[in-house]
Amino acid sequence: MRTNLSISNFNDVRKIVSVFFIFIGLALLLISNSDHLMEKIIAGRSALNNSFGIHQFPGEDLVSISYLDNVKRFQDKDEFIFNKPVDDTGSRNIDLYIYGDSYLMEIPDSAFSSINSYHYCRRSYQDMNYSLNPHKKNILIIEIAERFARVEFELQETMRHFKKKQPEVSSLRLSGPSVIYAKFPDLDIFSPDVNRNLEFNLYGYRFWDQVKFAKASLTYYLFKRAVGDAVVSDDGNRLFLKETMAENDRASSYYPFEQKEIQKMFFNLNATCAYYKADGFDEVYLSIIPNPVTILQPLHYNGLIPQLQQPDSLKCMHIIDMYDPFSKDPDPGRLFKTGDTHWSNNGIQLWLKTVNAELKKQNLQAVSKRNSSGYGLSNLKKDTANHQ
Amino acid sequence: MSFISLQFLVFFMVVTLGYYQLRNQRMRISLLLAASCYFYMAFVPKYILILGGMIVIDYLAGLQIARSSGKSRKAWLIVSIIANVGVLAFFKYFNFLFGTIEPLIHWASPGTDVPFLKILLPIGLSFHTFQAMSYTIEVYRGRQPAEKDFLTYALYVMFYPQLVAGPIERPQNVLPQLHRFQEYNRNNVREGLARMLWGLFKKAVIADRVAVMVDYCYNHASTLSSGSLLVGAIFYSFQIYCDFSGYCDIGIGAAKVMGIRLMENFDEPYLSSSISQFWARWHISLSSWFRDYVYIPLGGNRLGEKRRKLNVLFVFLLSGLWHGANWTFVIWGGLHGMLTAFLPGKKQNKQSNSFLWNSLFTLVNFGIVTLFWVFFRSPSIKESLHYLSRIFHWTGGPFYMGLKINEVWGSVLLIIFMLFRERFRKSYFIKNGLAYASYFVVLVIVCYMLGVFNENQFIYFQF
Repeated sequence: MRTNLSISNFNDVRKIVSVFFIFIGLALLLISNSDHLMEKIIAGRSALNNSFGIHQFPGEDLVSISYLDNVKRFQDKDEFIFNKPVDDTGSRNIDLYIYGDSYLMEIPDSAFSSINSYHYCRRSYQDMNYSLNPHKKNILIIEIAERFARVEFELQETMRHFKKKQPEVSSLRLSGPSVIYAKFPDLDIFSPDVNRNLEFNLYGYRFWDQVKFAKASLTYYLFKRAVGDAVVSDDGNRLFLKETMAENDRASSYYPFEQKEIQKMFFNLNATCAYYKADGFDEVYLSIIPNPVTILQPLHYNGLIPQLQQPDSLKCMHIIDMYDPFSKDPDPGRLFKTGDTHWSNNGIQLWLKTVNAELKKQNLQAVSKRNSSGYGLSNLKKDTANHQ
Repeated sequence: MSFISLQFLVFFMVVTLGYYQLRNQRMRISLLLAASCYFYMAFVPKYILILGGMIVIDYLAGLQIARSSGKSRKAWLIVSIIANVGVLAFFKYFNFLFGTIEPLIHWASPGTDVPFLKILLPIGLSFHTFQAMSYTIEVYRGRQPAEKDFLTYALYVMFYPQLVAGPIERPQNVLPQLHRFQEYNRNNVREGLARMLWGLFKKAVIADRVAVMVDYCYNHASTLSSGSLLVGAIFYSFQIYCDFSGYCDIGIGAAKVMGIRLMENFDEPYLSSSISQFWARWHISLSSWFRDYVYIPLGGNRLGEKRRKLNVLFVFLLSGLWHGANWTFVIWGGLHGMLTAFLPGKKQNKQSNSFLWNSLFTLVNFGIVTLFWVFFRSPSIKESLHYLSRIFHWTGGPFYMGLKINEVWGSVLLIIFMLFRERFRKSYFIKNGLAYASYFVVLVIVCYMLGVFNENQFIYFQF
């Protein structure tokens, strides 16, 4: 009798435990499959500063994602130093707009030459509704890291996120595509990030960090490799983002492209440029920041940037070329951080030098144009015509 | 969903626990079928429609074959075969066919646009179409009664542990097991889990580790030393073995946990001393499928030696084409076929059976198989020939040129460990509780610390 009772109790406990784990498993799958819920969880967990928070190695994203905190080799102390440009005196006729990414997000206004005002909009993180000053020369720089270029320029995405502040009626034109998207919901019912989300929900806690550090260090010291989304460079001195060297990823510098794809990007870039010029921008620039592998391990480079920067095909845009000076630099390693996807202070200074030279040139042109024909007035007329 | 993913880990836990909570076989079948649909849809959801359509056709064809007689019976078999081969041909060989005849079309009509499909091959298509065909053929041959329950038949095709990369099962093995209610058996669960863990070790620790070096060798064939390229080729032999057999171990183990026994797909193939022996031990479910449904119906060895050789060659060419729509696979199959058909069998005498001779034959056979894999791995014939010519045109230089020497030797040690374990400890069942727990803990730690987890798909998923 007692034995039967204990067997029955044991079976009940087993059943309860089973049901509990089924429930937990289903909840995990559902949550990890929902981008909306994951956004909330990530935001909540990012704010935590305890064992349930997220691991973050300050300043170097690749060291952070590969958990190589205990390996000193990839850690450098490189920090951006922004000085006011020398001989930046005289009139300031430029309103500078940058639609870019994390490469430029730390640059202060004071680092730019000849500008009256500076407006930065970070792609994928924020939208901007601009309102141009017709009395100034409005310059737009579309900056993008090479790894995002193929996906971004496959469509005319920029215009959906960076657009003129307009009254309700005229904004309908721009909200057109959103209406169309809403009518055709995405058929994919599974989040492509479900495994990453599950990893975040199951193992993405600081109390696991020591175990992850141990694996990362073991892999590095045993095989000279990094774990996760980072790859150790051929010379062993730096980390690269894995997707920038993958064989089958459009972010990769090694993934070949077809001419058809390039032609489509030209079309979209020209359309984007024409749109902004019609909207009142005086000049539109394109600046593609090369992936570190493009410059530092160029043997299998697909040649995307030189292809995209052909002046014959990009008729209305100017180019702020970083590929040529970077690839010709006698010590290109100094241009990128060793444990980060981004460039170093040397890299950003080279970019600023090029941009400031352009800004000065544009400023001088604005001054001479104003002196000869009244620059502000003509622009004001053009702007008014566009809105009628 | 890949077996090497957290999604699968959670999915497996939920499905297995749910399976044993249900006390009714019909409900269990429904649960497994729903789980298999989820598993398949985690790759590309819409392709479930193709699979579903094929299941309906084959299910109806099976019933009609069983009901009818004479020509009508044969007609239903033909309907089933045409439907399966048609879908396979459309998705897998359409572009291959038009790519092959493209120069001819351009020559005949310059400027004509050759139509190419911009679609992804439904994952595991070659596997489940072959499994479905084996059902209708067996029903036609009268060796298997037609399955009346649609859900059970659908589960036979879709059973998630073998859905996307085999083993290509036979209805006689699986269907009766699906009808039987499996009581919870602790030994099955322990054995199944141990086997799954071993499969994880082979895939994550060996296959994906050597894959990094193999990829490097194949991407730098023009610059690396012959020694490095040879190392890359040898490592690929183990990559593909550990990748595919690791997948099968996880699949067979997962089924075993639920008390369902799937057929074995590998039997130490690299210890074979001839090509024909290799094929009796490599991807056994596919070899036996071709033997039963192509080679024997073509006449097998009953119509004379010449015809036998032709049949063997044909089957191997077909097997090559089955693996992929590329001439590299056809050549790979053809080379295996030629050696199987034309090489004389090993003489069975005292001398040839000695350990020394056997070892020598095994080594030579492994070398041949390894060189043939170069065609399988390379994206084009030109690149295969380039890779092989770089190996044979000995350039000198260290064998680890471009590779990380610790990783090379570490991988060699892991491979030797794997070969020894599979040679001398075939069973996955460990009776002693403490020994089992130790095995489990040690293997989990080894897999975690030494494994490469980068969401690499299994090589055979593409077929």
